[in-house]
Amino acid sequence: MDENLKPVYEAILEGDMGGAKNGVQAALAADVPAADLLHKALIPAMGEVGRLFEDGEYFVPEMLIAARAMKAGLEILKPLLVDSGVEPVGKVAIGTVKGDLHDIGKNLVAMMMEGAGFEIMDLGTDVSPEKFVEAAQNGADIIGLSALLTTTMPSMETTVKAIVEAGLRDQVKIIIGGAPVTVEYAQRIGADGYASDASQAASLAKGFMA
Amino acid sequence: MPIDFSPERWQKIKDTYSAWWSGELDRPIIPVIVPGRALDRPEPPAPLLSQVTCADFSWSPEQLVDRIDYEYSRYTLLGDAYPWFNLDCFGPGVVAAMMGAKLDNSSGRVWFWPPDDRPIQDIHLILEPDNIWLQRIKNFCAAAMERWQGQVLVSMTDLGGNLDIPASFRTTEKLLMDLIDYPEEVERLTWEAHECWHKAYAAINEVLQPVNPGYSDWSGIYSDQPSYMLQCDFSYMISPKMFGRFVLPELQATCKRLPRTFYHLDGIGQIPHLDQILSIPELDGVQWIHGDGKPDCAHWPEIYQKIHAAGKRIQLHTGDFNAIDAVTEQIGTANGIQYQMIYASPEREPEIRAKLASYGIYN
Repeated sequence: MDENLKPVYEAILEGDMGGAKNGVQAALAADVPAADLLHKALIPAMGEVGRLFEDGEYFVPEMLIAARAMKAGLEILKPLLVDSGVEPVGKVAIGTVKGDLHDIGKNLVAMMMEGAGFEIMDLGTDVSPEKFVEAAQNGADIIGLSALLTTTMPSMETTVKAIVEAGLRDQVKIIIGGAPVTVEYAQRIGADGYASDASQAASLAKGFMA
Repeated sequence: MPIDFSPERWQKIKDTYSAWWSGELDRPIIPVIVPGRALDRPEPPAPLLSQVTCADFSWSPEQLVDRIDYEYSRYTLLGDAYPWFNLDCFGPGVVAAMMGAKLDNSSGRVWFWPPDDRPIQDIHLILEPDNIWLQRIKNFCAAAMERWQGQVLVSMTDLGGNLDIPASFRTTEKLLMDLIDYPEEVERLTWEAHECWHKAYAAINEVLQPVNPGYSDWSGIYSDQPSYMLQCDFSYMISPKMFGRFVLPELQATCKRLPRTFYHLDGIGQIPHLDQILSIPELDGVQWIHGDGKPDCAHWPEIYQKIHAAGKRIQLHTGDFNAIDAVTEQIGTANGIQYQMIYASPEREPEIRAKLASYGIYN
């Protein structure tokens, strides 16, 4: 890895927000293009965070501080990326479905997807089907639905149906996740995919955009 | 028609659990509730106390108790069931509300939110003696003791657990990062929560005892001594190393303070902590919750074998008689197993009675 990129990569892995900011600024000062920082440091670092999480070496706190460091670096890069015409991998609208106020899982998925190069529309918690439909109308490529309760899982099916009825089903991919959710349930309600954790969700989303 | 449970049956419950706690009961404890007894009185107007209705203060504690009495009068209690009102209706971790966190049940389910947004250094957890939720719960308990005179056991409310309580003041996401950013502050909060938790436990028991016929909590496990189902749902998201630093010491301390304790092991994310939990000598048992969408309790032999091998009792959470038989076979004994509660339709009563008889349980 380029010696200007390595400090950024390592700061993100260590959850060092200040280190990530400083590393990005130092790399930019050394004329490293913003796109290189994004594609060769930030995205690979979050990919490694995902791998460490899947392997049981990182847990949620480590993942959260890594994502916080990544976002700090990304905030510096965003205007430069826009100026240089770098497009996000895709646009993801994500939310916890109607009746459910859990947000950690949804937030982790959003962070990992942002770390994978996606633009995120975070719709929050207790999100109505109409809000998801609106997000699809506003250009979301992927809709991410989260639920932590068996009692709110039916809201996922309602949301999928609302997207179908709005005539938008062919325009978006729908990913679902959450503790009680299964791949069988995803198939049954007509979602395109199921992810058991945030890292897998990001991989799945990248696969859809490939 | 009043609640159908005689003092003699209560004594039998106490004797059965006494044998179970001392390891001398060679069968599982199986409580079964069959609703549907016909009543000769009208349904009272008050709603059943639940997470949906807990914030409606327009009903007096006496009216709420009367409504519960009506409901329980409809029950036929079979096996090891006893009249038990589960006071978890103020939400999981209501002790946070007793310290000033916001209780919100507008979604039909209780959630707790921070009273304000402040740095962790400025958060101090203090039980408010005049807090409306603590007073409401105490007033309800007093009315229940007055009405039932010990015929119905009112459980301890769902107080919440280590780190779950600080999370209600900080938000879960911030507290997760605090574990790395401000570990000493998190430790301070866990011990402040510990003291508040025990103060709330004592304050509610002051009202319940000595009329309440024993001690229980949302698990329904009966004890003639103070007991509780301990938990730390927050620990689902942290490493065993962090569990050892932030959760285990407080758990150990509470297990020393209460005569009888169980641990609510909630979901696969907590399995990595099981060895540390089982290392607490004073802990009496573990309730394994496999989680929604996962196979029922017959499908986790390694977990139950590990709990049993550590000399701890087991509470089964879901499934049916088949699950009880399966776990009994997995650990090689029925000694130390308690099933949380089976609700059965009236049509199943003959079948249920026959099955209970096969365990040597007769009513």
